[in-house]
Amino acid sequence: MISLNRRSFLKISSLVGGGLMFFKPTAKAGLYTPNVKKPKGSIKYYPNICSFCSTACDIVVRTRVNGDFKKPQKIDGNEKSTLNRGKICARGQSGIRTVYNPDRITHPLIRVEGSKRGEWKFKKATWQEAYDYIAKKVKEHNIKPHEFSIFAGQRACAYERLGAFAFLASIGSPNMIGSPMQQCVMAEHAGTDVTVGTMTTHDEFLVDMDNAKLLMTIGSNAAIAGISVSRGVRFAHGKEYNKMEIIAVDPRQGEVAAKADMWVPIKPGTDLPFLMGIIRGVMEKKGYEDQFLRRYTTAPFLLTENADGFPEALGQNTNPQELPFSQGYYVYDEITQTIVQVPGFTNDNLKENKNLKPALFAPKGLTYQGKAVKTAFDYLWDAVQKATPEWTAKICDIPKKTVEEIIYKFSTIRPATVYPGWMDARYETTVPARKAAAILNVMLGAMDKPGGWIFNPEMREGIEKFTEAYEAGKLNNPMALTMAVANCSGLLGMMGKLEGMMYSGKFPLFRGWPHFSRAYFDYRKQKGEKGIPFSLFTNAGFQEAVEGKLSWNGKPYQIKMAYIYSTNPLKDYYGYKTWVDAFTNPNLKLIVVTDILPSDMTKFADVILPDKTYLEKESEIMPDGPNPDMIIRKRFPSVSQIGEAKGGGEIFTIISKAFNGSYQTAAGIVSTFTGWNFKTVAQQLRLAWEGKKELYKAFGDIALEEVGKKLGMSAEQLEKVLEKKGVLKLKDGEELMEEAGMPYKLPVPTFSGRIEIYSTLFAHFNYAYGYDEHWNPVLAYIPIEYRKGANEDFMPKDNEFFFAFGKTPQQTYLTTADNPLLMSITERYPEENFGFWINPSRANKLGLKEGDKVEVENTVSGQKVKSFVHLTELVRPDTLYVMSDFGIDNKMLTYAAGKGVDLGRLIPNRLGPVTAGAMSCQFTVKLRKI
Amino acid sequence: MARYGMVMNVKTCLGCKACMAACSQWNQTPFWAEDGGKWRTRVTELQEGKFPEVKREFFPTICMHCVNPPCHSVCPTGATYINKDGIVLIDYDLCLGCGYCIEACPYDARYEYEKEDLEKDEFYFGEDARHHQVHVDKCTFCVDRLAEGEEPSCAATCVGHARIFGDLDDPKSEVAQLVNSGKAKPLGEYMGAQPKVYYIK
Repeated sequence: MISLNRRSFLKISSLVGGGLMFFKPTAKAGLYTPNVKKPKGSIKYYPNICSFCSTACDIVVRTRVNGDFKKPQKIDGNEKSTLNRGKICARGQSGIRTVYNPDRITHPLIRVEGSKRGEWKFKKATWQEAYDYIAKKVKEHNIKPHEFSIFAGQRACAYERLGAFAFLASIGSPNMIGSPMQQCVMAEHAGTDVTVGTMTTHDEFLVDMDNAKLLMTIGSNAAIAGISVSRGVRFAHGKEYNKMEIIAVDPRQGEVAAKADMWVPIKPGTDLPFLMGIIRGVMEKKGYEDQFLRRYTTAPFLLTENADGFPEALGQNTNPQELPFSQGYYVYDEITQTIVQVPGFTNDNLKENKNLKPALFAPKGLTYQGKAVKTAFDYLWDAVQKATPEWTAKICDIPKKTVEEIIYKFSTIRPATVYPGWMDARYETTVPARKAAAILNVMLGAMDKPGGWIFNPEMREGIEKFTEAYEAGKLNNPMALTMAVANCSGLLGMMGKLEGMMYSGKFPLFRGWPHFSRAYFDYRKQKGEKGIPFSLFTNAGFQEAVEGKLSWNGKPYQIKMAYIYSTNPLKDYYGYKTWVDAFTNPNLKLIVVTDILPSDMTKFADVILPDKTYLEKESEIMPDGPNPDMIIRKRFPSVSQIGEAKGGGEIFTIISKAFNGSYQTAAGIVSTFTGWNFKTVAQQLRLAWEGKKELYKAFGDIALEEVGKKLGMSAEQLEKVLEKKGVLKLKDGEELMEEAGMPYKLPVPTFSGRIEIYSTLFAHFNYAYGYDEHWNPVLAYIPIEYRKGANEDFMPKDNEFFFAFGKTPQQTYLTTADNPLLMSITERYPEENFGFWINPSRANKLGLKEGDKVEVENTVSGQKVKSFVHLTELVRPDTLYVMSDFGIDNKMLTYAAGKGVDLGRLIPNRLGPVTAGAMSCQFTVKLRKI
Repeated sequence: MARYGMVMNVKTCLGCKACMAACSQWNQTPFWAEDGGKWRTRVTELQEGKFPEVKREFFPTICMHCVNPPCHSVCPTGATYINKDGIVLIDYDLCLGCGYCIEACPYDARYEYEKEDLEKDEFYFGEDARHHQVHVDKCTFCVDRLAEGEEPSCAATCVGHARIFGDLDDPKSEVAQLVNSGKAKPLGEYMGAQPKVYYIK
């Protein structure tokens, strides 16, 4: 290995180390060698928030400071953090390599006149020139606010949401595509959210794996050990120190399954029937938490079959124009043996009558006003009735014994929990499958108590405020209710924003225009297709809006300008060609892209504006993500100016100015949603809009003052504390759970206030969008079709396979693939990171050896990609697996270009039901040796 | 004086490779080298069995900081030495780069820091570059972090708490308790090098 190198090595060594025998051993290994001068300056530590994935770990940056000059040397986890407990992953460790990445965009770039989008012909420009170009185009094409859409990617969505909202408010556009929501989280979270009232904290909960005795993960590899550090530390701790038993359900043995006590490699696409099988078993064995379900959930609600044939709660608000709050629901009281009304919004079915014993199962033949009624729990039992262990084992292609064993464990072990999950393979059944997982977790009573799903302080604060206003009767007029809901946390907050603001077409700020997706649903309706009820901040209808197919109130609704900030639709939104077509469409008069690195998307820009990395950025005061402890934190920059990069926040104000955007309107929205003093906000935003202060420095200063007031500290004092510690703990999570347990003391943010086994929101969707099994208010089995002629019983043969993808712990898609350090770790394992995983038993039959080149064809879309095969026993024989983090093609990316498989070219752009999720694995693939 | 050692709990190593990244950033090791870099610490993936009875394991390794290190006895210049805390170190000024130690180490813990690596070190780290002469390189238990009162970079960031660092002479330390209880055992004990890195498997 070293024989050839050694000769030159020795030669150089003899020069450098000349006369070495005369020296005493003074150089200390790993330290600066003594003959070299140490660089000037002193060491300081600046706290920050990691930006490499949505976990947002607390970090500390060791920085060399010399006067105004700052250079980061090393990043570590913040030891004071109870979120990531002082640890960070490889991505977090590699942050400085992104700051000083030689590929960075350091100046504004304008596409050379006469060149085409996609060619990469740009010339350097000043910020003034870039602004003038944008302003000129906006004027020239008379681009109106609703003809503008932002693609708010990972950084905007996870860390700069306030800025993005302020920006849209300032120009009056309703068109926000976030990340996009459905591909990032919504495709799964929707099922969890409608059940327990959460929304948009990735994974939704910091599951208390320290205290759980039994954990089942299903499609959650990335969310725990794939890796999310705040989850990874708890997972490993629970496993080692609390002997937590782990069941990992995954067609591939990912990192979580590798650590599990039981790996259950079910057939891809069978999560829903699998979970139904477990629910049925636990119900049959009466292994559920009876008292919990009776009191705090909608399980005892009496339901009837409505005229359209779907279950509807007695008392359900059926007006599609209203948010689905109700005056009251009905339960069957086992003590008085009568049907009684319970409050419309409460945490506890016994709130008004402690002597009530709501039945989980209604007596046979029960009727109400002549209609046959059953409980939601009855409906659940009916829905899972056919999922016997035999049936489940057959559909999922696993031994019956395994199903029975899991049922037994869930019926006997406590605390037991099911991981809510994030970023797994998606099918049309993903939302009901996640709903089933949430229902199972609720049946185990694993809500807001040790070993279960723990709410974060934001959720508690939000719902407490809302409940007070609701109970005081302050929300009687529709606008007050809409704003209070939009201002609430979790599901209520999101639905308020969605139906009250973005979709209504009535919100004054947007001058009568709804989000373009809403106009797109009307367009679908004309074609006889259903709308997509839960597609909050998605791209549903973007293509049609660009193509000029949409209208609203008889007026054409076209998107003419896109601002794409830190996201790569060509790859992350699936359907590469669909997006190339959209972005090269001449109807799109202006595309502005902001990014740190020259992503594939930047190739299609008219103007590229360089973003700063998180280590260069300011921030507002932020909560500690999903952490149950109440903690505040803030970013403190640790890098001197690089090139002419400006932060995304500053760029918001620049684009806003091109639209004559109003900082007052922005201040109004910010003040409404944060509760901050309007005058203070307006003063600071004025400075930002005048270019005198970075937007996030302004937000930071407002927050320091406003939060400081609440804590009885001056802004300076608070800033000092935050700069020193990075995190400031205001209240312990356990105390909060005790004082404000949800649903024990406070409602959860659903429309009934309870945990919803029967979803009042899904019922609402039926009135607004028509009935669909995918949003059945309880649960329905939906047999999937992998491709035409391949239904639930299908077993692929010959060169055909199911398809699955995941991610490697060292990467987070585009944001990290061009990091030289992370790519180096990745390239140590090129087979597993760049190749298609195939089980040797199938490879042998096809005559394939390790590394053989193959073409993989999607049997539904016809898309084809090329790579090679990696033979491994870690995957089911009927499944082809690949990593999703690679396949970037912009040659400007030194480290990432041309490596791995681009999923955007294998997965088509399809809008699935419920959330517009891409059904990213609902097809089969055929493999050919090339 | 201490007797530093580390316990690798293979059961809780999640395979995330944060340790490799952390080490490379503190010690500026050649992550840039071809074919996946040169590292002071590595996580090797192991697999055994056939589907579905297949077991996947992540196996972390570093310099074992042996009591009786073969690298030490073959070093012709005395560049390899053991410090007062039992850490095996290399004096770069004395290192000839002959590579005997690389061959002698049964744990594959050493590699060459070559001229190209020095150039790349400067390319990536600028005036903060720490390597200025060619030498053989290996894990130091982050001796310079220890001097600042910090744990070695890999252990400090280990998400699974699979790397447990401490003083083997301090009976209250987690590492001493794991070793003294017999729960953690060294690798390849029969070779007689007496490693101070122990494994729980």
